[in-house]
Amino acid sequence: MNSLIVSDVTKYYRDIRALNNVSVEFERNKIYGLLGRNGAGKTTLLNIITGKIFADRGKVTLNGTEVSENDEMLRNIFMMSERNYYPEGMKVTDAFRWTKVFYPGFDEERAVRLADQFGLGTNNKINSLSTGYGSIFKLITALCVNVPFVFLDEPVLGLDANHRELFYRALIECYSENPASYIISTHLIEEVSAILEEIILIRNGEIILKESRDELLYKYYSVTGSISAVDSYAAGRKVIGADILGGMKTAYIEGIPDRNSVPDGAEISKIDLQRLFIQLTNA
Amino acid sequence: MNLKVSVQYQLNEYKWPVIIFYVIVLLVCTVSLTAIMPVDDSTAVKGRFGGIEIATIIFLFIAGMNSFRDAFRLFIQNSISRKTLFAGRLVCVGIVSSAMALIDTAVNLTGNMVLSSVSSAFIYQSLFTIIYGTGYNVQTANLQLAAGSLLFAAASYLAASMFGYFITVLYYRLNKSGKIAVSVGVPVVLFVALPLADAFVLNNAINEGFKKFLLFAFGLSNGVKPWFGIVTLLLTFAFFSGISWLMIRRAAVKD
Repeated sequence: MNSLIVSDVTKYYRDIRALNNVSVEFERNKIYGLLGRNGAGKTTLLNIITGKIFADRGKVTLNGTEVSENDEMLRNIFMMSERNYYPEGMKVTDAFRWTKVFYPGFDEERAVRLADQFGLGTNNKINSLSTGYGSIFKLITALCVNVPFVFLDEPVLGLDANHRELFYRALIECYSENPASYIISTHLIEEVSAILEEIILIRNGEIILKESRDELLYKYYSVTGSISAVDSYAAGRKVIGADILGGMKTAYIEGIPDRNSVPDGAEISKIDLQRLFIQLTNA
Repeated sequence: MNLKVSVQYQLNEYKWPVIIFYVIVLLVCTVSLTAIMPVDDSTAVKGRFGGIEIATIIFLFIAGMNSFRDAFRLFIQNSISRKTLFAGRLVCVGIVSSAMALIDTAVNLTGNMVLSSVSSAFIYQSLFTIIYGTGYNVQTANLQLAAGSLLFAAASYLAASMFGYFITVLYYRLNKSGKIAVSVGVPVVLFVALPLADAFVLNNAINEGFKKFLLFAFGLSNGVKPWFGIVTLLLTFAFFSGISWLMIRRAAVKD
């Protein structure tokens, strides 16, 4: 099984261009962060990949074969949607049973075990679950399907801190036991940052960046200090953004920090993923 | 194609409704037969009983109208393609229609036997016999009537199921204003505009034409030709299947 490749995908909603010639490759067994502001096109991209909607142009291929409307290819993909697409009245236990029918690799035993750990009653109807438990049900399903590509759209929506922590641990555990590609679309960037290997940044329907998290964070840094000190250091350097709070300024800079030329009253520090995301997507 | 899974799920959706339907039918038949049995033992026919197929047609039409949205969303969520969903739907409708036609024919035969053994005042007739009975010698053509009933019932059920399915798919694809337009427009045209135009402008031509068409389509215009009716129902099934597929093949999952 090779990469999942999205080629030149464009999608319009009436006059609004949601995706513009998006091309991106998802390699095997990596954990991706698909990051972008509200309305950037993340969910539209995921919905096209998983066949919920159709692109106006472009295609998605797996092993060189088009995925759209191809059961053989589609069975390698699962998407945990933000929305609930299960029939009204279906119980969690029935959903697990049917998922096993749709995805024979579904680990029902693990699903029941995870449900127990999260405190999810398997006899509850899915529609009656709270937002948090609705997310938990869908997360458990996604973690147990055992397919090569799992897309998680806002996986921790409505989850409290304890459940989020439990989810991250369960994800790592599943990934260690059965490696797969997990593509996580979330707004809680800092929290998920530690488990991401690769970052895909989407802005206004276009992929503006796809890079390993470590390399990305290595390429940027911040300088904090008095406004004059920071301005003096930043002069002639590629500044991607800045914050001013009181008399203090923080400039975010692309490149390798030059510690020898940092003026008095300023200091260099690493930049975290969330801060970098804000600077890169503010423009 | 994951056809087996598609059929399995969609058949499962029918399981309980069909069981409940037949429990109700059985109760109604039992109560009705019990009520009319002791009435009279004279040889004059005083009433007819049967036409259970009408209930099944209504049931399958309503079931068809409730068969798309949930299955579509669940299948797309679980990476089953639209064509597999639809192929599964056709197989499922075929199985359910055939099975219910068999059951109804068996009920008809049983009802006929039971009723004729206790009273000749009432006769039990299938929908097929009611429509086409004049073309047969009801006393001697039992097997022909049973076979005709079975085929006619199966064809009716296929058409009713797919007509219901077509309506639900149509409504799924339409936007809000389209839904309003169809919900208001179709009844207004069919039940107000056309009858008025027919009565005041067209001199009853539509009514007469429609009657002629129905009699021809169901093989009653020139003698009794039941296979005309069966073919018409199968063509109706094929027509609504085709239109439904055209609407499903590019359907997007709606939130």
